[in-house]
Amino acid sequence: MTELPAFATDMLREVPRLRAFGASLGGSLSAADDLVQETLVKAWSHRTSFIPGTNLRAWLFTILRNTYRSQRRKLGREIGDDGRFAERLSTPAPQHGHLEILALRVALAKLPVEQREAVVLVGVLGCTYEEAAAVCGAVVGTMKSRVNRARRRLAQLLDMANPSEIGPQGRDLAVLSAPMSEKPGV
Amino acid sequence: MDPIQRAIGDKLRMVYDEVLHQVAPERFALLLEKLEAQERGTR
Repeated sequence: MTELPAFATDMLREVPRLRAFGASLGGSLSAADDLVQETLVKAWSHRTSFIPGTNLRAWLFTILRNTYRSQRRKLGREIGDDGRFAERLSTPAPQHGHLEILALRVALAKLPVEQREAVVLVGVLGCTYEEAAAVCGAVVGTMKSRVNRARRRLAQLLDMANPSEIGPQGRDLAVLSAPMSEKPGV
Repeated sequence: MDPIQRAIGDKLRMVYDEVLHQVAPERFALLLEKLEAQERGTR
């Protein structure tokens, strides 16, 4: 394998996040990989428009999202099976509570794509609201609202009205948030 | 952020952990090599 130029190496470093974002937009992981491939080709051919020192990750996310939307427009429908990726990830989480994670995968697939991309960008991929808004071509307030709506909807779908219902961590949080008199041993 | 939202955030990250911690498939490195080689060839 020959040594890649720095720009290509930097892009390659972002591939895991690009695959996760691609998968969140809908379709299988192999569809996400095709999306990532097209993103890398476009990014390479337009790399002179990237300003060094600015946010490469956000730039790549934007290209990937635009590519996805352009494909969707061409096809006139959602690509793949619209978010079923999260539902289909096959490796069970090794931690306790993996049933809750499986339920979350199913719930994620039920969110509108705008909410799913928002909550994944901010909640999983570490974007700030400002970065996510730039990627999605929305204003920051809209992005915050989408993330909040997505989280609320997920809580509803997972029946998480009570923190004690969300596994061991939830029980700990329920204890922490209870009035002092309800804490064990107080 | 309230405890429920924080719990959702933690679990969301676990859903995508598998993809995020996989090494990038070799096809992407090969693709970038090919693009770079094509460009060198046209210079």
